[in-house]
Amino acid sequence: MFNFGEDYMKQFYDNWQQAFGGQLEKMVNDQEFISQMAKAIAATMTGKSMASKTMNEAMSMMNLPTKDDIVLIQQKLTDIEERLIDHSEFVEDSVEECRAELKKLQDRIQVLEKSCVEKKPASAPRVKTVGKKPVKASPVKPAKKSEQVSKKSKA
Amino acid sequence: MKPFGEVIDFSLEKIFRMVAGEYADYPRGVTPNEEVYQAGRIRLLKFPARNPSSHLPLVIVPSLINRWYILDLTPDTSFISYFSENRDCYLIDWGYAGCESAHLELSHYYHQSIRRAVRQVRRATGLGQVDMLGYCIGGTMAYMFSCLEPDMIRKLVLLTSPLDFAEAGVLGMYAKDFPADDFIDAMDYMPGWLLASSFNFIQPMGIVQKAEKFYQKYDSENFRELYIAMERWIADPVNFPARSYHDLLTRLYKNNELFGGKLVTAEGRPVDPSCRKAECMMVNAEHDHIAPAATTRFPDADRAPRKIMNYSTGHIGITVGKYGIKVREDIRNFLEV
Repeated sequence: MFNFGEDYMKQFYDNWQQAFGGQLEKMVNDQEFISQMAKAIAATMTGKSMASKTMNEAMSMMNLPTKDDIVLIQQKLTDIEERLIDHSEFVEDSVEECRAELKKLQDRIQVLEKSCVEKKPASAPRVKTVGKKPVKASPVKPAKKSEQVSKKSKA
Repeated sequence: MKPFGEVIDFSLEKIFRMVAGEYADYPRGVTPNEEVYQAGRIRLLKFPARNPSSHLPLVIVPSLINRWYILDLTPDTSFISYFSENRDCYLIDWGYAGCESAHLELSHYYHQSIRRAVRQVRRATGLGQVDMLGYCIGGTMAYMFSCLEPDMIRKLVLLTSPLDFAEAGVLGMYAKDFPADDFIDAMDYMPGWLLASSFNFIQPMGIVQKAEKFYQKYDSENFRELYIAMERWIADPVNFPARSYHDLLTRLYKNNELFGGKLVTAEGRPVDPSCRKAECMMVNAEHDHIAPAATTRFPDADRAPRKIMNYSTGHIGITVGKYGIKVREDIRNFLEV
């Protein structure tokens, strides 16, 4: 098999890594270098915004939508979607709360009904007695059917 | 060790296969999952428990800077596979941001999006609290969320997550000088390829050392599998929305507002570390150049119980390196007490 002379290559690599790698690491960690990089990035960003602005003006002159217009519409759509999600979550939570409240009420009604049923025999002696016959304490007597019919026909 | 010629031969074959598209459909993550919720480009993925023994679900918040499947690269190194052994895991997939999310503030992600995900998990499980694990900037976001919604989280694990940006290392030096205002005027997002290049730039010998490591270990089948999966992950960068990137640089890196307790959300809610309740575990990598140990200090106002673990490894090595197994075990022990 063809051999490149691995020992020589390895020695070369180790030397190169020690000499070049160390210097490179030092350079990218140097504050002055970082400041210059930042300035270069700022200049690139300014150039890009100027180019975008020129392009936008050219497109506007031709009555064509610019990239910024499209992006703005996309962002509006995102906002609408976000609001829809918030609202649907609110509705879901409200429905769940209502269900929970309803469940609580139903449980309470059941408990009350149970206690009423249990209390009935105890409340039996609380009836008014006229002479020998026990009369229930209901204040309003239901009208007879024939009376209701005659009232309706008069009206 | 094989002769150098064979190494070149092997590498070229791999490159040709890659160019031919053989690895194009390489799976993003190896653990089976299902999408349970979607809001915009953000998805909530569920990794069902294989042998459920813990009823509390784990919500994983990955970094916004890269793709989530660094935590699920291969079956042997997968964090997600490990934790979904006995409990349901949910993961927030931030997706690929485009121009449409350029105006969204960072708080949209660390408050609204995480709250929506936790809400879905609470509805699905019927539980009031969840456990949360955040990786890198995802951990910082999980921490901020735990300050805003302290009652929703029982235990919090922060994996190499910076909280104090005063001494943020070389990344902090670049961030402090970065022309953030010029950037937001010119760009809709920080392109993913540029972010990936900048990480390579601050570690100039990283690529050379990686090639050296490949040469030394390419005989091992496990190493090759992990290497290819890792390269696939590196070649899949994500854009960072402009407004959020501006917030990250100015509010966190330049002004250190989180540590000082001065950070507020877009709605004006203060992110107050003194409100936090969840017991927290901070996992540090001693050779981390992205989140050095000095950045992982807790704010003074934070009085919640905490545990700090240090491992002699790097930022990525803590998930896929030899310490990965130990880290996972320690996290599980912390979560299950």
